[in-house]
Amino acid sequence: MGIHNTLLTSCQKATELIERREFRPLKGTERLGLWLHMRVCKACRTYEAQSAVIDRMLEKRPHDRRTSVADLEERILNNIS
Amino acid sequence: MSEGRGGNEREVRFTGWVKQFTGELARYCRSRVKDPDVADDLVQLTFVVAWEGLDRFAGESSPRTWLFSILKHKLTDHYRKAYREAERLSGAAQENDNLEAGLFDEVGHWRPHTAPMDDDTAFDDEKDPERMDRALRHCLDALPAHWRSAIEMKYLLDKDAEAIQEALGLSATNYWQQLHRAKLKLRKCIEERTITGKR
Repeated sequence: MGIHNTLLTSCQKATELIERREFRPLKGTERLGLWLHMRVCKACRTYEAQSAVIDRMLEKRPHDRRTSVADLEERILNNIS
Repeated sequence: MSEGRGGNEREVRFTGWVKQFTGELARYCRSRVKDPDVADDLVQLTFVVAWEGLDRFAGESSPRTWLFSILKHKLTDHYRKAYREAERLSGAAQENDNLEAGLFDEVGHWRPHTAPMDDDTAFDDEKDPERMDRALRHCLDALPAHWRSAIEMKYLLDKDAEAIQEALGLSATNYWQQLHRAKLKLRKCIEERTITGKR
């Protein structure tokens, strides 16, 4: 148990750090722990790659293709006039 | 209507914006909100706010930019309320515990059947973008409301962690936890829908 907490970053922790890193740089110990973990854990490397795909798609969200907004336009105009 | 010439010009200009931007705003909003009626209401609300603030709009930005910033504000509001509502209805806490215990063992390692699989048929957003689009849409809509909020806020508030934490009424630690769980759940769902090979 001790070794997991001090030397090794768990998969649970590593995947959290991957998400948090999107917002701001990690602290030195966190960065080191993540780096070490990623070197030995294939599943978390896969997670990292897949997480990046999801983020890319979330950022550039596929547009809704429903095109008819005539009703909505009418509702808006009735509402303000 | 009865404000004479000035009022009329104002209305003509505004009607032009409604015709020009409603489609774009509605599509943007519908791709970010589960219920299309709720999405349309948010767009309508955007134009109400714009109409009321029209005199203060100095034209420093384009009308399009201005309308989008109002809509983003409304969406942020929507997800802030959705988060608090989900929290109030509890159930959320229970779900959180189950998710993590199901994915990770007692030392925090992936359980044998939950580790992400390195399978190139999954998560390929280049080979079959339509399929990935559908999976993402489905899985976002399937997320519990508080997790959906945690994810949407990241983009609505441009990854400003402090602003997000304040809007959701969460400590930093709690927000990372919620976002992490939301992403674990979302990833798992997309994997299940896109993978074609066998483990």
